[in-house]
Amino acid sequence: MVGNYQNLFIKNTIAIRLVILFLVLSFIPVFGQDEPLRVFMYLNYYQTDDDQYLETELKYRQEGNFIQLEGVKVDFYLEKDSSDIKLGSGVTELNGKTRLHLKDYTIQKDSSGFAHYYSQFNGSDAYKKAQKSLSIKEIDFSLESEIVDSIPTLTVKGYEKSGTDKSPIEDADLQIFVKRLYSDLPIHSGSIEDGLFSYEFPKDIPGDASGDLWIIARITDHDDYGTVETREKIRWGQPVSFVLEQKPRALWSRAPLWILIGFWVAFILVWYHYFFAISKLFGIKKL
Amino acid sequence: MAEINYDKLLAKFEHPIRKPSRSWWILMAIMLLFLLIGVFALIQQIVHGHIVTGMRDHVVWGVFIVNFIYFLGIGYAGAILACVFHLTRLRWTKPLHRIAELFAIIGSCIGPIFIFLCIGRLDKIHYIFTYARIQSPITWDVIAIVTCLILDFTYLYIAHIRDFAKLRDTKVFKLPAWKKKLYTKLSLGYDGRPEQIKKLNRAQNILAATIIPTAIFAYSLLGYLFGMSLRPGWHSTLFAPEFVLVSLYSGIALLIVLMWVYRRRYQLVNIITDQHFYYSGYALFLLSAGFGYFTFSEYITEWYNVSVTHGKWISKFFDFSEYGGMSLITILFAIAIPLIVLLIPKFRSPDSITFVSVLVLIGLWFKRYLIIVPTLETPYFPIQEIRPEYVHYQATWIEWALTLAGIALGVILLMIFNTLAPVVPVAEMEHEDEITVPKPFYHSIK
Repeated sequence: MVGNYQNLFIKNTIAIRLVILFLVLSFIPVFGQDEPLRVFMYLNYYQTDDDQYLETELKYRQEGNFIQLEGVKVDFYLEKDSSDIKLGSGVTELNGKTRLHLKDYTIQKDSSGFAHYYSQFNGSDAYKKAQKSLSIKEIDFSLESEIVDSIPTLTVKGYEKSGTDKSPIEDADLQIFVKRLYSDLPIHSGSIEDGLFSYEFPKDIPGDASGDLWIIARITDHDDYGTVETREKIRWGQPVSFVLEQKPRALWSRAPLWILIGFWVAFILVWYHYFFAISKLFGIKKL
Repeated sequence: MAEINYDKLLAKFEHPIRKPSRSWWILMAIMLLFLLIGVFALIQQIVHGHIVTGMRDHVVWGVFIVNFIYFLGIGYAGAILACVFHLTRLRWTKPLHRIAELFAIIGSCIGPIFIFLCIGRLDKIHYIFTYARIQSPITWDVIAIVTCLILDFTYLYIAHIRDFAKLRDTKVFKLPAWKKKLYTKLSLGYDGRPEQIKKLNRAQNILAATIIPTAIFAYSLLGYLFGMSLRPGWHSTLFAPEFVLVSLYSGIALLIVLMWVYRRRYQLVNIITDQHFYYSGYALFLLSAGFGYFTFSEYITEWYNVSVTHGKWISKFFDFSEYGGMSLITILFAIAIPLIVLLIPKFRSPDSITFVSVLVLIGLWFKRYLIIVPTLETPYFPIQEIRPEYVHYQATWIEWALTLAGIALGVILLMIFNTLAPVVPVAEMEHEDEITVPKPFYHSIK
């Protein structure tokens, strides 16, 4: 029998070898030389009531998808006629972004009032170098609220700053938002002309329990001004009562009878037989 | 017709029952090393939290749950096989009973460990009982797993009583005094009197008949847990029967692998014969065909009349930058190769059947991975503006270390069980020989 078994084994070794060869071949990886990947860099300027900052974002492309580049150093510069001034550096976070706050810097501008910034990633073995520049003109942006003939009216004012001089913004698109829990709710779009924009605010927007609303006016991604916003807390909303209502369970607040019966019948049957079998074991010991 | 000398058969198990051999200790040391690496990984997970694993907000289950389903499937399959073998009185299966009983208990013990590794707030684990809702499939599953574990342990013990009595009385080799005492206690005074035999048989029959439906239902419940979720690929009526079939498939594969290992280790060629491999191979063939049928039904139904999310999900199984490679491995290892090797008589041998069984065990692990991860990566609500690792699951070394530790723990438990009793039920086989003619076929093979 052992001889027979060995013959069978020899006969089958060819088949087994073929299968092993096939499996090994399936797993041979494809080797290739890795070249540094191209990096896509974005640079934006943000101005709020109490902050100004530059934000840069780095991405690279892999298998058709853009993936945020995390944990790399980015330098921020201000361009000057003779030499560039390094403003600071940042390390990109999980979302591939890093910021440089500008409030503590004295930013030098050109004769037209523009500040010229650029951000630079110096590259590595895995990623290529990348640079992005941006020219920004600082503006005064404010929001005023008043009741005109019993109609709540918003007035947005915008002026370009050039040294100590101010000149009204000629034309720029803006949007009015109301702050909600997760993101800002857009309620109106328009444009600021000759430094002014006026809007009759609706009376039916839900506010907090006191009727307070955070109203935001925002110019988004403008060629000269970047993203600029101003916000004001105004009691123009409808007060909303947040009394939580206790609701019943959506799915079977009580188990249906057939489940209860089925469960207990199965449970009792199984455990009855279990203890019956155990009782037989005790019987063996007693004999 | 050759007679089996049962004292000689028992003598083959002197090591490790009397004293483990050197090779036993070496293997044990290697397995303990893997276990220690797993313990280190576990400490990392406890100290730093689940952030050290690849599990995130969207893909909340990973390799741990794959292992949970895999080991539990093996456990339930072992229980079902052992009980079916016992109740059907298939005499040729007698030498295989103990192996099935052993991996039943080991799978049922190791599986639930992995579910504990998944839980973020283990300090609130008692809520499962204190806030249990009988209409929840989770509650059914917890009750079923605990019940099955208790039933399996008791069945394992009952099936060992005859061998404990034989070891208590044996003069084949000299056992240490403490072990004699242990066998005296565990054998419950059994000495083969007709009343004792009757009571023991009755207990074993009742328990076996209880375990089969309980194990089938318990593993179906795991299928229901997925099937009752509204997620692409899970919400399917096929899931519970497919789970049971895949469980039996992996169980038969593991049985064959362990048959091969024990046959070589203890030189049991005339006890676990080539015929055992062929018969088990036939079962493996039928189950691979069944598994192929379920897989085809699942994919064709999802693919033919597809919604956007389901389309995304199913396309991942054919895209080699996603799960195409893993799907191919599953199909090759668990369907194509087993069917080809087992269908063609020329390719069939104990070694080739064992080799195929190893492939099946690997393929079915990947199958469980394909059930869990691609679905969680494809929710109905699109995932937007989020970190890439939240969208694509990638297991970390912590999860792999704990997976290897789980396998090592299985081997360790198996080795410890082997020090307590022979891997074939010697006393039961001897008892059957005394009362029945003709002899089982393992007598006719040298």
